Parts: sequence; structure tokens; C-alpha cells
Amino acid sequence: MNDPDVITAVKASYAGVHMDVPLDAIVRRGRRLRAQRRLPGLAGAAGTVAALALALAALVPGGGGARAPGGSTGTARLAAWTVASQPGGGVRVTLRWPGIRDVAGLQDKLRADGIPARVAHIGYLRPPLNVPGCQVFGDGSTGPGGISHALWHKIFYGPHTGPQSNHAFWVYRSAIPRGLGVLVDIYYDGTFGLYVVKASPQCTGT
Amino acid sequence: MSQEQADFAEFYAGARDDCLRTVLAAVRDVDKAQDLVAEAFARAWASWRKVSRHPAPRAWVVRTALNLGVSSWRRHRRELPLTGHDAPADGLASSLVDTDLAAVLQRLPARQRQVVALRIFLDLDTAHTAEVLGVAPGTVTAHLARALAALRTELAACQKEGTPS
Repeated sequence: MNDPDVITAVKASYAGVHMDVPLDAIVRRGRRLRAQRRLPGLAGAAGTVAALALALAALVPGGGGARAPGGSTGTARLAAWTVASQPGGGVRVTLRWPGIRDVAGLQDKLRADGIPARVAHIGYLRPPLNVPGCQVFGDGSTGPGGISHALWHKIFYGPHTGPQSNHAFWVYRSAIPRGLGVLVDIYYDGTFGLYVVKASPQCTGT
Repeated sequence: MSQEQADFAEFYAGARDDCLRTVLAAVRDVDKAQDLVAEAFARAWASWRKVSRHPAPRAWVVRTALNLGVSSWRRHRRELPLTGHDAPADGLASSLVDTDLAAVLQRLPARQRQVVALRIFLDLDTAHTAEVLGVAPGTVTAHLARALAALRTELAACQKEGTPS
């Protein structure tokens, strides 16, 4: 067997490998990356996605005791994420890529903290915001039926205005109006989008 | 669709499978390889004006994907593994790849595997392969020679074992 034969054999052995990710998913992600570059003041912004989105992402590192998934209080270091109580009734969620695949655990944790929440792992193979059972409110400044940026800011920033991280965010449950909830869509690299949704058993559990 | 996006779409359609195969040969995990390559293509689109003028855009994508993989691995090492989190994927999907040959390729040292993948799937020359991997051209030549020799030996052995007596 000579070198061309070896090369041909190796090449043929991978002939069944194909990239399944659709072009539009790549383009969407690329636009998100471009948007982040254009917003240097929002260094952690996950960016906007499609017309529905009011997706600015977030926020500053903060303190607080981390909680284990399913636990009440106490401190634990988690491979995937931590949820830490904040003064003023908020929680700070920190994501640690590549352990972000445990989105169900994070969702359960947020709901246990009284936050009507849906956490979704939006991979390349699923279009963003196409989360079954969830009605997402877009940016009210860009179209009817949306929510105001002020409300979004109250829910996801609370009193914070400082520098931001692209792997951590806050949720202030006291700022969430009755009937609404939050959707966190986590990208595979640990960045994310934060959205306001209509609360429902199918979407947010309540 | 703008002309810029049309150009990128054409590039993606023509390059995506080869880039995935190259990265898969290096990282040995289909899901991870696909995520890395997808992210690399997204970054290529985000910087398309620059990448489209690159002498070897496919090599740019693969290098970006491999760099992302290294970052991931480094971060992963610092994580505290817990049950159910960070579980490694199942490696090469047997339905996708000829497993005998894949196994032979996977037994090669990492750098040899990368050189073979870049030369075979992307058809890169020695200079571009060296650039992607950040090594000297002579190192690429040496790795390729050793890799092909090892593959030749292993494949010959496999064929001998598979031959009915």
C-alpha cells in the first residue's frame, strides 16, 4: 500500500461525515458576534436575535452564597452554573462553559427560587426563540406587542449599571409583573439571551 | 440575500464537510467537532471581509475551531466535575465513520493526526499546514511522513487480519 492509497482510504473512511448545521444558524450567530463588537459599552451583551428579541445580556460579577441545584441554601461550586442570592431579592446566575448543558437543573433551580422561568439550550440546530409553549415578547420600541426596555432592565439588571460579564446575569423576581416570566436561552459557548415571556405552565411552569 | 452573504453561503456549502472532517479527526468527538466548526464558521461570517481575503479561508476556519477546542479543553480542566455535568461525549459516531480506519487514525499522536487531517481533508500544502498548526514546515513534513508510515503499517495489518485464510 502506497501513500496515495493510504490517503484515499482515510478520506473515504470519513465520507459519511457531514455538517448538519444550517447556514441561517451560522449567519445568525455571526450577526450576534458582530452586534457584540458594535456594543463595546455592553461587553457582555448576547445581542439581539430576530425581531422578537429583546436580548441584551448581561452583567456584573457579584457576591453572594452560591446554591447547589435543588438545594435551599449553602455554598457549592458547580461545574455547570451557580445561582447566588443578591440583596434586593435578585439572583445572580453564573454559567460555566462547557457545563451549560444542564439547563433543566438551572431551570428547576430558578423556579424553586420563585422565578417563573424557562431555560433553553439554543444550539445551532434549533432556531432561536422557537421554544415550544413560550410566547416571547419583543422589544416594545421596535414593534407592537412588545415590552419596554425599562421593564426588561428592571427584571434583568435591577439596580446594577456597572461592567458586565457575558457568562453571568441577574434576575429580579420582584420586578416581574404577574403573568410574565423569563426565558434564558443559553448558547453552547455559555453566552446567552434574556427574554420576557408570557408565564404559562407549558413555558415557565406556572 | 446580499452579495456578501451569497459569497459566504457558497463558501460554507463547499467547505463545511471538509472542515468538519478535519476537526473531527483532531478532536475525536462528533458533537464537539460540529459545535467548534459551527462557531468557527460563525466567526468567519462575523469577519467575512477579512476572512474572504485570506489565502486559505478553510484553513482559517479549521485553525479557529481547533483554537476554540484548546480553550474549551483548558477551561474544562479547571472545572470541578460533578455527576451529570460535563460528561464526555461518545467519541466518534460509528455510523458516520469507517471505524477500523478511524481507529487507526485515532491511535496516531495528536500532532500527526492534525497534520494528516489538514493534508488529506483540506488538501493544504506544507506551508499552510504549518501556518495553521503554528509549527515549522519541516515539522509538518516529518509528522506527515511518520503518520503515513504508521497508517500504512496499521492498514496493511488490518487488511491481513481481515483476509480469510
